[in-house]
Amino acid sequence: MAWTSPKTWTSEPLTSIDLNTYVRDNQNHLKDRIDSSASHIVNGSKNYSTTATAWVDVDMKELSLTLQAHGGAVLIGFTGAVRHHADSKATYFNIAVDDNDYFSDDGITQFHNAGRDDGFRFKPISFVVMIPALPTGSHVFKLRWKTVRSNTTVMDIEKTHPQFWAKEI
Amino acid sequence: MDVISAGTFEAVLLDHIARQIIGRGTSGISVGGGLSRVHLLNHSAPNQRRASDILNHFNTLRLDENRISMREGEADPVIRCRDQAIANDIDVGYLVLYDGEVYAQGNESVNAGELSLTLSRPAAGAYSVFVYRLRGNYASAAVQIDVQEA
Repeated sequence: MAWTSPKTWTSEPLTSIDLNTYVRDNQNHLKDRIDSSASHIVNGSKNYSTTATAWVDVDMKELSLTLQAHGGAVLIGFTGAVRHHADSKATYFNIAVDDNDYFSDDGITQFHNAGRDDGFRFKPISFVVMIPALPTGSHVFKLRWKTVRSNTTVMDIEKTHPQFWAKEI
Repeated sequence: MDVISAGTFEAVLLDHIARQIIGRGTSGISVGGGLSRVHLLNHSAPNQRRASDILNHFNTLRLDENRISMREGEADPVIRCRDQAIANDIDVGYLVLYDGEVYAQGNESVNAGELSLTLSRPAAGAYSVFVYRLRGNYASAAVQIDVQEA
């Protein structure tokens, strides 16, 4: 249901056509956007690992969301825990929108340390990014990551449970 | 592009063999979600085949033992492979991890169809010795060696 700029009534009669267009349809549009969300919490017995130095899907099934957009901006959020096998390395996070990396360089955010110098402990990673005004229709959002040479990045799903979500606003 | 196999293999070992065999044609590997993936940087039929072979034959090489437990100071453990797959190989690659860190790596000769690798005077800790073919089907296997304090 598309949004129609509200009409300013003066003295003309209130018609059912106008009511349907400016009240019913616009309310439906707003309600559709409020209802438009997708989220997934990952559980599993084997953590995710990567050594990829170019963007790759973290998990093409579990960390992939399909959202029906209605022309509004979309918030994408992720919360999880990550560690490294090596010291002083970086892991970068990105979002793919319909299989296109939203940022082509080093993504949305980055994560450092949590290697031997940090006791190999998992550390939290969390971000929210706003994707403005996506075209109306179905869109697929995937969490992507990459690291640097000589490192393995591990995301915990055995003990903590990452959440990936998308919400039209 | 990704070459994908069912099963979650050991990431450090899979990364090592992928980089040794495919070299700069791979950006790395990922495991998780019940899958193991080798990431190729471009569409290359030879690299696609190498990645498939690495995944399809991961952990298929037959070693005499897959787990060794010992105490410090006991006789050095020997890793042996008499798998028919290496009968005509000149050498094979190996990687040794000690408590998860790279301890040693290189190539070792195959003599009369047999590979023999000796871990010299291991200290207390957990070793993982990974052996892989450098040609053919790139079959591989790993031995876990647990060394307790004397």
